[in-house]
Formats: sequence, structure tokens, C-alpha cells
Amino acid sequence: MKQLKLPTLKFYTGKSLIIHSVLVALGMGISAFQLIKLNKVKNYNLSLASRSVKVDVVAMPKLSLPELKELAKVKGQIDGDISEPKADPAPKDTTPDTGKEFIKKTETKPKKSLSDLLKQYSDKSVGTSKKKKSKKQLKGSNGQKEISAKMRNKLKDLVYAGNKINDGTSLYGDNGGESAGILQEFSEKIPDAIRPQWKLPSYLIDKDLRCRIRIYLSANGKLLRSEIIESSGDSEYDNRALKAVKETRFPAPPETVSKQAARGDIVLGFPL
Amino acid sequence: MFSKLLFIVTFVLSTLSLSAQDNLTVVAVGDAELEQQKITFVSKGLSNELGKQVKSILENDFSFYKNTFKVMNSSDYEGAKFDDFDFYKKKGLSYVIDLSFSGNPLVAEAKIINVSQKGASGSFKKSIFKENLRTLAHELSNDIYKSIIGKDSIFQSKIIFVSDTGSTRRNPFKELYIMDFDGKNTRKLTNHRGTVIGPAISLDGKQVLYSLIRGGNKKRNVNLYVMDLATRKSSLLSSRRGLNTGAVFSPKPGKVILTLSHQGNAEIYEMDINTKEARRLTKSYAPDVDPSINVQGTKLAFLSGRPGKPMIYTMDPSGLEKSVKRVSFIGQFNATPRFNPTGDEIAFSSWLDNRFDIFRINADGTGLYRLTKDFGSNEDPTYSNDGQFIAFSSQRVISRTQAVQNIYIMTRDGEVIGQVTKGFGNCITPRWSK
Repeated sequence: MKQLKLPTLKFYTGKSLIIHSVLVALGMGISAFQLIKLNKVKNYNLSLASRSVKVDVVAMPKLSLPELKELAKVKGQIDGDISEPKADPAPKDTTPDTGKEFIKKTETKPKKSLSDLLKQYSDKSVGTSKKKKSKKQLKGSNGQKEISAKMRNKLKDLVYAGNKINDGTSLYGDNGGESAGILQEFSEKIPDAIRPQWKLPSYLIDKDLRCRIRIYLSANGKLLRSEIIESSGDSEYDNRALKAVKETRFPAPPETVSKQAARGDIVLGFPL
Repeated sequence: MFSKLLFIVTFVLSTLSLSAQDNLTVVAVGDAELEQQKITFVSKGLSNELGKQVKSILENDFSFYKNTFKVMNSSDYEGAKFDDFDFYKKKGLSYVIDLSFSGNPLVAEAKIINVSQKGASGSFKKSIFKENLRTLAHELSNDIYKSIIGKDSIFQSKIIFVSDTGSTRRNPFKELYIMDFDGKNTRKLTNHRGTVIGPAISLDGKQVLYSLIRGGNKKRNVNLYVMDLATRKSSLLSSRRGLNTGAVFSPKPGKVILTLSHQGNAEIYEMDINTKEARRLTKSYAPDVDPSINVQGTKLAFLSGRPGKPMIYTMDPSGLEKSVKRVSFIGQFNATPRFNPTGDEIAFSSWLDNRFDIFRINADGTGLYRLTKDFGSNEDPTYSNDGQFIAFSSQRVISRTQAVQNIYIMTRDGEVIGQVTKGFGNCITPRWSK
């Protein structure tokens, strides 16, 4: 007679331990997965909301309009000086591949949103005791080092311009939702960069001419190609529009839409 | 099997092509800015005195449009033949106005030579009489401008203003004057020996409104008068108790819009010139003053104290408190909102940095821009008839006890063109004819 081997306690504890640990792992795995999904949705909603909220700087303008124009001109010159020497010595920059490397570089730097920066500025106290001041100053200077000069200038411009309403754009449902919103938002910055170069003599104005130019931008905002997809019928009008495009220093597209920008998804309408 | 494979391949390819569809985003760049074009007025061998004056008036007129035209000194181009287009093109000129003066009475002929089109694009003749040389020269100037740009210029417009020239401390008074837009041809309109305030000129330029504070110790009521510019006769329009001020002509014939305070605090009314009946437009416990109406008559801008501080509001003047919308939300003390001719911009003055400065805002509240800075205390902006310029009064301090106010003209972007009144006392409240 075979003796039934009764399962020992050891056997049961071992097996139950394994089963329980598997269950716990499964439970944790599922909840972690849910959390990731929730965070994704939350971040998406947050980015959507931040792009659709209007930001008004509510203060009387400190600089007059002629001064703002001068500032924009000077800034353009400074930006130009930064970008131009890069273009010439490194012929590699003309190919879009180098652009991808550029993207990788920027991804390592933590990107600060405007709200975070404003929070930082508001955290700085004004006129506290000496001891506290020195501490806060250190903190402030550390914080400021992280902000690029470009971002600081942007904030300064916002304060100077005063009562400039920043358009909240998105909440478009079609064409791939989030990325279309970002592309639209980026595209709307382009007219401000082109407008100073877009000039016509009096005999071409009020003629209801219209042309459309498709632009291909690299990841750092350099114009790769431009083509007229809709001519106005007047060659001088078209040439002036092309000239304005070629003379413009375009802003760099955000990473998520750099592919679309390089693919020529942006079309500029002169005047619309 | 093969057909299945074919089906799969075509299905995959078609979905791929769908995803690779061109989703082009079209962005409107907007209207182009007018390019500054070089222009010169050439008149070979000009010896006629009147002709010289006409030429200098034309050159001065066109120089107001700084951003559109750069008026070049004609002496560099007098040597060339008038059809030497290559020479002109090399010199960078866009237009050459060939002036010739001949005959008795003098007849001026202006030929507009379009350099890029290599031909004359227009020609105008005008008889010039010494008595109204400036008016005729301005007419010729406007003809040339309109032929090139396609719109009327400011060259034939007038500015009315109030000045205290001639008054003394013992005998102070302020009278109404009218002058050409360039500051010349100043003529006195009133002689009440009181204080004229808040003038307005009608759209056709034939009538003028103003309020008067009579001198003397009598009880001061501020009454409204209307004057016909042709006959220079003024008649009393409204003498209700309290204020009858800030009147502007409504585009509706026979109606004016003004501030009355006979019913308590200052409110805005529309009044018929003939029947003198007043229709109430605003109703609030706070004062509502300074009405300004757009050329179509569809929008009214005014100053109201209802939020606590004087703020700019717009409304529909066809009804009581109709579509009242707040336009300005900041500023310690906003004053004198004025529409541009098309009614989409409002210029106003606001207290900032211990003085008044001129600001510009769109009628929907967006696009607030500061136009003057470090330029004395600037008040009372008024738009030109083409909406490109703003005239305003600016106060300069001369000494600890003395300051003088004069009228200046700037572009609507804040670039000051120049001073228009000089040595004429304190010139304030300019109003540009539309």
C-alpha cells in the first residue's frame, strides 16, 4: 500500500507564499498601470488647458510703442548674431539629421513652464531682513541660473509690453488633437516674425492679390525650402512674398511638431 | 491565397496613404506694410515766387507721411531728363513729380512719373492765386497723393483748437481757433471773452460746437453753442442747468451727443439741434462724460466712473444703456476717449508716472499700446481723417512757475512728426476735421 504523502505545512506555506506574492505583484502591476494612464490623461488635460487659457498681463505699459519696436529690432539682431556664426562654419547644420541631434540635446535640459517661472519670481521676497535676504538671494540666483537668457527676455518683454493678451488657441478636436493644436500654436507665432519684412509699394497694395507659400523648417527654425503653391498672378507680388520669407528668422518648432514643420505642413498666406 | 494577399497589401497601402495625407496648416500673414518710397518734386529752372511756395508746400505735405514717402531734395535730380527712367531707378526713386508753372494767372501742372512702370501715371493742373495759395497747393497735393495711394490724405484737413493767447492774469479768456493741419492759416472763430471748452467740428466741416463758461462773477452755467463756419454766427444750443459740455456731432443729421447734468449727475444724451429735445443714453449713479462716436454712428465711447475709477466704455447709442461694454480695466485715471474714423481703435490719455500720456486700445479691449513717453504731459488725442495720425496737446515746463501747452502731431504708432502751434499761448483740445 502506497502511503499517502500528506502535504506538509512547509508545502502549503511555500505554495501560498508564491501564489500570494504573484497576486500582490499582479495587483501592484495593475494599479501602477492605472496610475500611469491616469497621469497621462491628467498631463494631456493640463497641457490642453494651459494652451486654451488666456494670459493677460494686467498693467499699464511701461514702454511706448516706438520703444517696443526698437526692442524687437534689437532682439532680432541679437538672435541673428547668435544663429549666424553657427550656420557658416558647420555645413552639417544644413541637413535635417543634425537637427535630430539638436533635439536630443535639448531633451536633457529640464523644461520649465511659464507658470513655474512666474512662481519662482513671485517667491522672491522684496525687502526682508538682511540674514533672510542673503539666503533668499542665493536661492534666487540659483533659480535664475536655470532659466535661459531667452526665457528671461521673454518674461521681460511680457512685463514691458503690458496688457498683451496671449491667445489661448487649442481645443481643436480634429486632425490628431494635441499635435495639431501645438502646430497651430507654433504657426501663429510665425506672422510676427515675417511681418517686418513684408512690405509692398503703393501700386501693389489694395489690389486684392493673394499668394500662398509652403515652408519647410528644420528643427532649429532654419528655412530648408520654400515654394509658391498658389501664385497671385503678379510676379513682383510673389517675389516680394518669397523675399520676405527668405529674410525671416523663423522660431524653432517644438519637438513634437518638428517632423510636420520639416515636412512642409505650414503654409503662409499673403495676406491670408 | 494570392487574392487574399493582394487584398491585404492594398488595404495596408491605402491606410498608409491615408495617414500620410497632407494636413497643411495655413497661417495668414496679414496685410503688407507700405514700403517707404522715395519721391522728389522736380521743377527745372523754377524762378517764379509763387511756384517756389507751391513746391515747398507739396514737399512739406508729403513729408508728413514719413513711413510711406521719403521726400528727396530735388537738386540732385534736376539735371536729368524727365523721362530718364534708368537714372531715376539707379538713384532709388519710386516717384518723380514734375512740376511746371506757366501763364498769367499762374497755372501749375504736376506730372506723376512712376519710375518702376516707366511712364507718367497721372497729371494735374491747377490755377494758383496768391490769395489762397496754400489752399490750392494743398488741393494739388491731395490730388497727387490720391493718385498714387488711392485714398484721401490729410492735406486738406483742418484742426480747431482752444487757445488763451492774448489773455492776461487779470483778464483771462480762452477762444476757439481754426488752422490748417500743418499749423498755418490760423483764424479766430469766437470772441466771447469767456472760456471756451470742448469744441467739436462736424463731419462736413461746416459747423462747430463748443461750450462756454462766461467770465465775470455771475453764476457759472456751462452752455452749449453751435457756430456756422461760413457765417461765423453762433447760436445757443443748450442752456440746461449744470453742464452742457463735451458735445460731438452725430453722423445722424441734426443730432449731437453731449453730457448734461440737469437731472443730477453727469449723463450722456443725444440732442436734436432743432427741437432741442434730449434722449437719454446712459443711466448710472456715477458720472458718464466725454462721448465720442464713430463715423458710422454705431458705437459710442465714453468715460464712466461706475467701476470706481474713470474707465472707458463703449455702447450702442440707439438705446438707453444699450450694449454697454467696458473697454479699459487698468489705469489710475483715464480721460478723453476718441474713436478713429473707422471706429475700431480708441485713443485716450491716462495718468501714469505723474503725468498724462496717450494710449491706444482696440475697441474690443485688446491691443493696449502706449504712444507717448517722456514727452511732457500729453492729453486730448484726436485722430486725423485717414486714421493715420493723432494730434494732441502736450505741456512742457519752462520754469518753476511757467509751463506752455502746444499741439503736436504724431503717427498712430507714436512717432512724433512735429509741433504744430508755436508762440500762440497755450493751445489745447485739438479736434481734427474728418
